[in-house]
Amino acid sequence: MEAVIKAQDLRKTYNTNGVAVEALRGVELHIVPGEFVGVMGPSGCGKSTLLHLLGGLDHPSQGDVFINGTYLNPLSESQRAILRRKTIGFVFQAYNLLPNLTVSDNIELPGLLLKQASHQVTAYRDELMDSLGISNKASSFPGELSGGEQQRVAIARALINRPSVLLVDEPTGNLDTTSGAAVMELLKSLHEEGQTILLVTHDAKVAGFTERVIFMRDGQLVDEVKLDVPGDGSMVLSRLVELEL
Amino acid sequence: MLKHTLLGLLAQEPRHGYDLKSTFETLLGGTWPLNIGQVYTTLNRLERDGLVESEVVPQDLLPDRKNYVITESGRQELDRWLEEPITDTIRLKDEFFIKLLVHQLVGSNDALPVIWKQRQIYMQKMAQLTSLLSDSSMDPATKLLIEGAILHIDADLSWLDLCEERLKE
Repeated sequence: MEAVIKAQDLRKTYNTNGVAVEALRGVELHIVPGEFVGVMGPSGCGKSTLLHLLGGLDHPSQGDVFINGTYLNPLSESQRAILRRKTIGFVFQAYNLLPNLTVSDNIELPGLLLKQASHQVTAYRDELMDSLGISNKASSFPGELSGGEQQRVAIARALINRPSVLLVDEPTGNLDTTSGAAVMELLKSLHEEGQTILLVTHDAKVAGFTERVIFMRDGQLVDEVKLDVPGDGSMVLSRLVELEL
Repeated sequence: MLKHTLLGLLAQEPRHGYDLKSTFETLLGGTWPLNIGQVYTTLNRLERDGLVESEVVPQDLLPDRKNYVITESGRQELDRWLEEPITDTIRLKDEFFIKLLVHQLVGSNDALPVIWKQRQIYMQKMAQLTSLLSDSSMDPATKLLIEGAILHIDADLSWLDLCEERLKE
């Protein structure tokens, strides 16, 4: 299967005050359509840098990135921007919503930027707001919403152009436990509908929602776990009690 | 723990042994199956200590049944237990820690692979528990139990990170 995201020997060095800091030291990544992958590691391990390089927001010092088979390295800045709008949806810890636009305008903006027929964008926008449970907030402004609601708007905005992959950076970082769990449930159900998602987090509770977790340390991928979840919950529960966890 | 849970159930209303067993099991979401013998042993001890009393209830077509009732000193013991925090809650006998120690004893130079394997097991368990939470019909108390277990695993994972860091130093 062709990879949605392929990264080969990805390296990134930042120069701060004449000191070279290696943020990424040779990362290989292969993500196929439909996967829900979590990259987990402590802050400063390079996971956000990785996400930026994969999303074409920054250039690697060395190594190659392919999105849907398109080689990112030789693209100009404007070519990248178009590729991003068409194929990538971003969800960040800070929701990055425009404060003076309504919820529905925030969501449809990336669609209109792609010069799609506005009635199609509007129809899909309404569908997204409906399925994400924010229809009743359509004419509110971001400042009037709770953190959990704003993150839902950000997710709807990221989905409006039907991206091949959703890149997600600490989606629950600003949320309380309950709204954080709700956002993760939402991402999980998007995945179940076939959406490819790559998420970075320092939080094992968040990573537990994905189906493959890659552990990152000091700019390198050090470990990987496949999380196949067997259906028998009662077994888990009784083991829990045995283990006195 | 069983002793005080039974006292709690009897503080609600008088019950017989089998009723106690099945109510207890439902309360814990089926996570802790009880042996009926265990229930009667505990009840006998409670009765010996004066915390419960029993009365024989004759039944029409069935053998007589013993109904258990909590006593005043049973209620006092239950209140005392309910108000007390638990003190032996910090796990200092961790098998994985002993394993790391023994790695050093036998001069094994690389404990990293076993740390990685352990991390995979915790992560698997985290995912299993997380998926249980998506059951919206789950009893709120059971949900809290699972969420507590998830937080424990979260801490265990952070500790593995720490182990890995120290080993690399």
